[in-house]
Amino acid sequence: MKRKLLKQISNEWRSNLWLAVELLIISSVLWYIMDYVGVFSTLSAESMGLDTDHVYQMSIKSKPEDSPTYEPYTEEDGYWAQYERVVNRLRERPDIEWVASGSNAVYNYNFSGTWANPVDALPDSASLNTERNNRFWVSADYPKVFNMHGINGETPEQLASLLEEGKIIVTSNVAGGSMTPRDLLNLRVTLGNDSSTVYTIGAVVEPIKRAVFEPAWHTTMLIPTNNQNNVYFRVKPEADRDFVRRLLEESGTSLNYGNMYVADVYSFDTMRENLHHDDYAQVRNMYVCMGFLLLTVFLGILGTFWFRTQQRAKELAIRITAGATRRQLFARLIGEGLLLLVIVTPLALGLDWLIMYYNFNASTQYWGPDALPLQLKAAAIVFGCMSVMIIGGILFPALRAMKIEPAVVLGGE
Amino acid sequence: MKKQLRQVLYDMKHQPVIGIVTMIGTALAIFLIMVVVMMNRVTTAPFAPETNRDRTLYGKFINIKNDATKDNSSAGMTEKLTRRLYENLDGAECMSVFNRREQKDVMAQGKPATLRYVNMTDHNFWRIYDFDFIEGKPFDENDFESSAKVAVISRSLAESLFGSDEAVGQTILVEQKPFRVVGVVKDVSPLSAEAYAEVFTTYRAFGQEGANWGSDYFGPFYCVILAESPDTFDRIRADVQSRKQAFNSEIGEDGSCLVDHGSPFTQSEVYTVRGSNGGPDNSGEILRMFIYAILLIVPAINLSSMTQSRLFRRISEIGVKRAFGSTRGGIVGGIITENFIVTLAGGLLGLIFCFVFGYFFSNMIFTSTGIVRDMDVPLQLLLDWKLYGTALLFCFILNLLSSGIPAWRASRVDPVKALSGRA
Repeated sequence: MKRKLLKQISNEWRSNLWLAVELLIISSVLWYIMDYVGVFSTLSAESMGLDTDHVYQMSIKSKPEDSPTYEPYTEEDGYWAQYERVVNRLRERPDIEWVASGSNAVYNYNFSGTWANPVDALPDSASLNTERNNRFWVSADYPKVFNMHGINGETPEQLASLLEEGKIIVTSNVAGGSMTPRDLLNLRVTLGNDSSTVYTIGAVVEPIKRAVFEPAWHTTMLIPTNNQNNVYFRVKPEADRDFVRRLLEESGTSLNYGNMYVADVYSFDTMRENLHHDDYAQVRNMYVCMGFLLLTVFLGILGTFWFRTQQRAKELAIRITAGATRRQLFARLIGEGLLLLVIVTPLALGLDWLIMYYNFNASTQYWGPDALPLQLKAAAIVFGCMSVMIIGGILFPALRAMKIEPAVVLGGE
Repeated sequence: MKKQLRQVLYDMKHQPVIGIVTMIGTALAIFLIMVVVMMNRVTTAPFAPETNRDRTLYGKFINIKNDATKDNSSAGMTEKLTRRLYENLDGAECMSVFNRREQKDVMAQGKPATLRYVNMTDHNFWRIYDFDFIEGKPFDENDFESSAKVAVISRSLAESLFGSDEAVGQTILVEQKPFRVVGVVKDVSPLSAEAYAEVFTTYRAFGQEGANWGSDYFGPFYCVILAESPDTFDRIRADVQSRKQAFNSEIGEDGSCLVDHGSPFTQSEVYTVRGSNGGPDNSGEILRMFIYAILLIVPAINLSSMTQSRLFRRISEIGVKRAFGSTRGGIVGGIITENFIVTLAGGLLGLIFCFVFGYFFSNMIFTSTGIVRDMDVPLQLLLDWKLYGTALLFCFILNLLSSGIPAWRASRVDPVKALSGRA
């Protein structure tokens, strides 16, 4: 059967060549797109390291001296005292669970780097991976706001107590060389060039990413402190409807105090959307392009096989009179299209390999040789999609061919 | 032409499936190509307020290197350096200095604050960009020189703060500082990425004229230059070059050197400058060409394959034509014209899809880096004869690609063989 089909394909080599070239180009372009989309899906599925559902960021600012409502600070009612008042007012709201302040969180590319020097001896051939270490200055309630858990099962409350004790929390990717994340626990370190302050690592948490579409390239350290410019808070899920509007409407009367005012409130969902606006558009364009190419395969196959079944009506009629069932005719036509795809696929894989070799595709750029499983998966998906389109395209002409009446078609012979 | 039109209609009537497949294939190809063209055009085509895009240049970033100390710093400029390098250039009509666009909290007394895009610039801004004033007027040189706290705001901001677009004379608080509204302008699309803002004021009103990043040269300022015409770009650049050389000889005593990355940049270049320490990057252009090629070649192969099959059915007709003295050129011309009619009809359909999609789904296809607002694509960008011309050109290329080889092959058929059914 296969040999006969091959013979038939070679007999009609001219129109099949067009189809083969089309399938080849589309296979490789689709693979490139699937690879790109695959990288984005893999990164989207990775945890951000912080749970940002129902979490908001508030920006509290102070009025400048030339503001008409500015009032000079007093000793009892100074800058930080007024700031603390606003935060406490937020804390007192019944619809808010936890409030914390911090220098940074997720969904921004801010980076405040430092490195860690171990004070205690490390296990043999072990090292700390803190070359790209992002420093978060946070208040004790930060783990509660972001619902953080330690790798040893520490609850957000336990992590908060550790920060309260002055201990630091690090992400598991700080463990370098032959270390395990557990080896980091209770390790004493100094940060950067400052050897005067020794910190103890109180807990280890999962890596924290800066953005959805960026791998956890950085390590992170949570260092306890008090007031920071950004205020983060978690809203009770049942109260999290139209929350920003309600809060802003009430801010003038219930939150602002002295020279301190609420400049803006963002949900982390909004921050994610804003940060990835262009990335989402890019992925969307890729999907549109993929849809177009698949539709093109469908139309090309449909058009070609529509003609082919018309041209080969007599041949198909003879097959029926020679005993072929209509089901066999149907399978033959579908097989012809799929065989063409099978012939083209090794060539397409060769093209894909060239794309990888020259480092043009996203997964190789991100993960190098480790991306092979993703690339194979992308190739398999492309083969599947193309097969579906080919079957879809041949379906109508094949169904028409099944209805051929040999007596009518061969009447003139 | 009439003959070819009749032939196309006959084919459509007798082979409706193929007619529809060809039409949809062509329409889709033209639709996608035109969307890509539109995505590109919004960055360079002139439209209000950036109506002078063809004669604007942008002076952005400086990069100072010192090989001896291994220092390599790059950023925007101080106001002083911006004016020194780019003010009163030979061949320039006007120049405006502006600060980086920032989001600042804006409110009316007693209303909650929201973050709004604020452009801090000078009075020349209004000479370069073409805003439509609903009420009031722009701030002027006196306002700029006197650091007056005045602002022009967009209609949507006026409506959200005061409930109507009549806001002249009202006071808004920008970062809690009071600004008197002197004008209200129609909202502009964020696609005019350089001029877009919701509040326009002077950087002097914020006391930022001396702003710097800890040096005499680096600061938050850029500039936009309006050339007398695109022909004076070379004169402007030559003048900038001589000023850079003079600057270099001044800072060069300790080994420092201003690296030239080609600033000032044209409208099409400025979009491809990725960082403060590099020049225009044309890799996006190569990618775009590749996308055009794929979007043209793939449907062309498809259509070509169908054209060939269609011609195969008409081989005896072509044989008759040849037997009656038709030239090969005539046969090729006829087939290409027939195909062009189909391509044109499909292309028109694709263009209509493109307009509808571009207008109603503008947020899906257009983005303006750094600005998160509705894109509101201006109609004049969609309804433009250049766009029709581009679509027609792509139809023509697609037609040649898809019918050229089949037409050439059909014209070479031996009439005897064609008529005996052996071709």
